[in-house]
Amino acid sequence: MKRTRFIDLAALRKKPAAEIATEPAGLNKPTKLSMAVAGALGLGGCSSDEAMIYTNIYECKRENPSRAEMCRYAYEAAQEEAIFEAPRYGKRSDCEYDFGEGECRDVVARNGIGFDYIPLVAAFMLPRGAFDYDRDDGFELDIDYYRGDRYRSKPLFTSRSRRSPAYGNWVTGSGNSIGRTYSRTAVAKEGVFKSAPVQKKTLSRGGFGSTVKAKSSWGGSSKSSWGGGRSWGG
Amino acid sequence: MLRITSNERANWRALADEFGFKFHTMYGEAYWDESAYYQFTLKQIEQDLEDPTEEIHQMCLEVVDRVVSDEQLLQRFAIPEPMWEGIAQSWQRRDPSLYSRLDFCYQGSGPAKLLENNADTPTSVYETAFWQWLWLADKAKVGELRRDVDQFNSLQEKLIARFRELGRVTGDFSKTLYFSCVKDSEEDRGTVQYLQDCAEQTGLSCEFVYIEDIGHGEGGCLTDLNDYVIEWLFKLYPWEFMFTEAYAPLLLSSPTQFLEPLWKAVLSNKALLVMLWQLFPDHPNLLPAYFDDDPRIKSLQNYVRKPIFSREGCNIELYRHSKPVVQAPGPYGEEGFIVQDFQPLPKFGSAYTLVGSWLVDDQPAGIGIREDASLITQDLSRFLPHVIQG
Repeated sequence: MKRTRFIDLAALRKKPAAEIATEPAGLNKPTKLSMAVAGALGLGGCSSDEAMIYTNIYECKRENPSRAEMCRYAYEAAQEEAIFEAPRYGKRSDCEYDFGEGECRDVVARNGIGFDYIPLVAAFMLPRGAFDYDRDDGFELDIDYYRGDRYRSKPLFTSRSRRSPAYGNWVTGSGNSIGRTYSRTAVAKEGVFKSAPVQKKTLSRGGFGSTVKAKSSWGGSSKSSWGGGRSWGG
Repeated sequence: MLRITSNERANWRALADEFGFKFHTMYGEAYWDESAYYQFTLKQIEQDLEDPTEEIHQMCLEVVDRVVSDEQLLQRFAIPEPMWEGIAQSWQRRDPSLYSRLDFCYQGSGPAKLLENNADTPTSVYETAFWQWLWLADKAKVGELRRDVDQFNSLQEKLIARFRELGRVTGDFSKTLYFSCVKDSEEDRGTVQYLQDCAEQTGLSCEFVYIEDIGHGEGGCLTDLNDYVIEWLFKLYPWEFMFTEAYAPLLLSSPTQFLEPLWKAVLSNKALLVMLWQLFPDHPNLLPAYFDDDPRIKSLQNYVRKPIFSREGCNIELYRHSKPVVQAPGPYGEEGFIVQDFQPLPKFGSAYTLVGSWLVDDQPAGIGIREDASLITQDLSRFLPHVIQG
């Protein structure tokens, strides 16, 4: 297949869904475009920040019995994400100091030479609603769905070492605590990974954009009216 | 390659409204046109468009490598000298790119011929990545097209994946990605909104700022309207404009990463076509091209004269037997011209057809088809969907 496998229409919709009037009589009754076309989640945009946490595939399957394959994909996606997100240590002993003995594994170092050590994935986290979808579209969903878009499965870590601030908590790869490990739900705070933005006193504005003004004032035929909606791309 | 007439979806305009596609009609004339679609075979797509797209992109990167370290070439490319070092450094770092679009003359057989590379600010991404995809899904749903019909268009999927990758390598999702375009253009505003929507699906923190509102912050940085430093900026605004504007020095002093990166300025320049022909003469997908003052122009019977910097077909002149026959008006041309051998666009029905072939980073990602009543494709050309069948 040479086309995009899945598009979340809810994320691109700017107004409430329109009814489709094009279905000829005698076929299936008209369905909302969002459900019919792309197996979109029909959530009208995921406004809830609630997340579900599973420590293994079985927990996930138990709670979502008809979504066994999705659970496996989500688990695998989190394992892959961990390679990018987990904190890295040059020595196994340093990693185990923070996360506990036997709680670390080796991965290839970023520069491709030698190994780094990262904590094992303790759980994976998904937004509530990640499993709600309609599969009548015939488009295939696979592991990329859980690597991708807004439903990316997030690896969580925890520490067996009492001295660590991560002891007894779920933490993300950047060290943000999500909640206590006896909990299987969490509220993922918006912007939890963002560093504080820097402000600088602004001395002036408007130093870009003058070329457009100059070219807009060129006359030209009535057909190609410059400015007023036309693109400055190519 | 066929052009097939088709029924318009009864409520496509309501759908466009729902999805914020405002520029489907411009200045009262249709832009999005679903009264017909193009049909390709898989072999045509893969052999004649996808593979050459990938190959030509690599050839273009070779041109960048040559140009950035050659002062004579940099001058020929009309790149201002203060920007040379910044561009070379951007290339040496291999600053990552989001996308680009190659325009081809192609009619279903024979090699597609490269007309130009829109490597800095390619337009029609929304129509290509999303709107024509939705058209196909609708048509398949109501049974007007078979469900096994495909489309060469994985653009949205690749854009999102690319934003995710860029997020990882750019401060691991800690930086805010600003999206920017000029105030004057509804089309550009819509395009940029779409790209922001894609980026936000990866969890990236994004903001919008108009080009004209960008500020000069203490220490030589770029700031937004709240005086936050802009560390990462996607701009739908050409490099060659910014190079000559008041804040050009800030492009070098500000701790800002750009999409598209600085080195793309070498590719979004029609002198590229001359260099490609120089480095890869007689390549099946290339047309002979020379600088305006090259005596070899005399060997061309029919040719097109294009300004080094121009957009949307402006200031392009067509010469047959060395005489001008078509001239598109416009405000470009002061930096000089190139001449390219003339290959007429194919005609399917009453209009001329141009194939735009997209890349995300260095991967072919799909095509969009445009038609124009004139041999020179301009801003008021129409965009038509396509399918792959057979």
